[in-house]
Amino acid sequence: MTSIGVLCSRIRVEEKLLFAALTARRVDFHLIDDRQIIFDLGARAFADGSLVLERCINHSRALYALGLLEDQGVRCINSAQVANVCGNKLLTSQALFRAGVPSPRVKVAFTPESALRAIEELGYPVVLKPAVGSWGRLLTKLNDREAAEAVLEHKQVLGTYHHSIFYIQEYVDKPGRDIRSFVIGDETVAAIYRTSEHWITNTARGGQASRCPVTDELNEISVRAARSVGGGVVAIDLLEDQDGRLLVNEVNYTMEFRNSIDTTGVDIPARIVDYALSQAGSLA
Amino acid sequence: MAFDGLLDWAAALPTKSIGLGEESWTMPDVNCPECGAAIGVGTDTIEGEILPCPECGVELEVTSLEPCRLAPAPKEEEDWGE
Repeated sequence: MTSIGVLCSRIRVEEKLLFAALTARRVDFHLIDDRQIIFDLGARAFADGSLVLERCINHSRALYALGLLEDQGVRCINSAQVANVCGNKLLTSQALFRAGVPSPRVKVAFTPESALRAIEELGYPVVLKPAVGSWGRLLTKLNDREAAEAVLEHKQVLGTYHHSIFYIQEYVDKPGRDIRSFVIGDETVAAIYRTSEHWITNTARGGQASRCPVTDELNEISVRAARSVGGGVVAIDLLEDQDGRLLVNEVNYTMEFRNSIDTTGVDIPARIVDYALSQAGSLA
Repeated sequence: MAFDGLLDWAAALPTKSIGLGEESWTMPDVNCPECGAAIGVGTDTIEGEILPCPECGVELEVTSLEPCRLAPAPKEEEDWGE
């Protein structure tokens, strides 16, 4: 019987759906609470062939835990490398650009002065993002120089040093929606539009989900984006520009899918579990 | 078992009760620690699950099942997300 560990912080709808999918397949699985686990470096606590499905809500815990698990020979979905790249927007952009995956222009600067120059080189509006962050937190659309000066000063004075790594992205004038595609292994299994009157379209911020057909073009760019960050189970955020061209905006490695199952008709948690079992099988 | 040793504690967690689709019944109500509202908790509830209080809306974490206890869920942190 296959045994899988599920590394969790809190049990949300997604985790319960994954538990149900594991139970339906009669998989022996264990919850690993990241608030309780203790790693003893140098000790080997996991048997060969162990597999862990990572569902942490804290990026930092996920990143370190995955590295420590992999040190002990545990196969993790997703890998520490994928978590490292996807948990940081700058590293994600680097991976996308290295792989030649179409994505919005990005400039990076380390001081407010150089950031302002970078912003003006790109031209207003631009989007300023924290390198580490999710759910649309602290995304800033800067429409003019006065706003840029104010926000850059606030970030430098009020934020941690992390907020002085200025990630500046071209603003893509999208058609009131973006696309979230779900890639598992080498396949885009489903996709949704996220529609909002606000320029931030995250469903965590009120964006409405509707079914998006998985065209050959969407599948190809999504899989290329997934491969560029290391593959596995990832959700790709894409923007459509004014010419209808798809651009990869971000890649998420602990994807949420509660709003996308009924919308797409695809049993995403079942697909994740089947993928995990296929990976566990390849370890046997 | 692949997770002997380090994960002995995990093996004791109620993995069997996680199975969905079973006939559900409701445990006695517990009260929201923020507003005192009575909250019904179903048998498919598991430790660590997050429940919103239907009256005040605060997120609550199920910290134990027998007896059922609820505590305010941890607040969102800077690195939370997908």
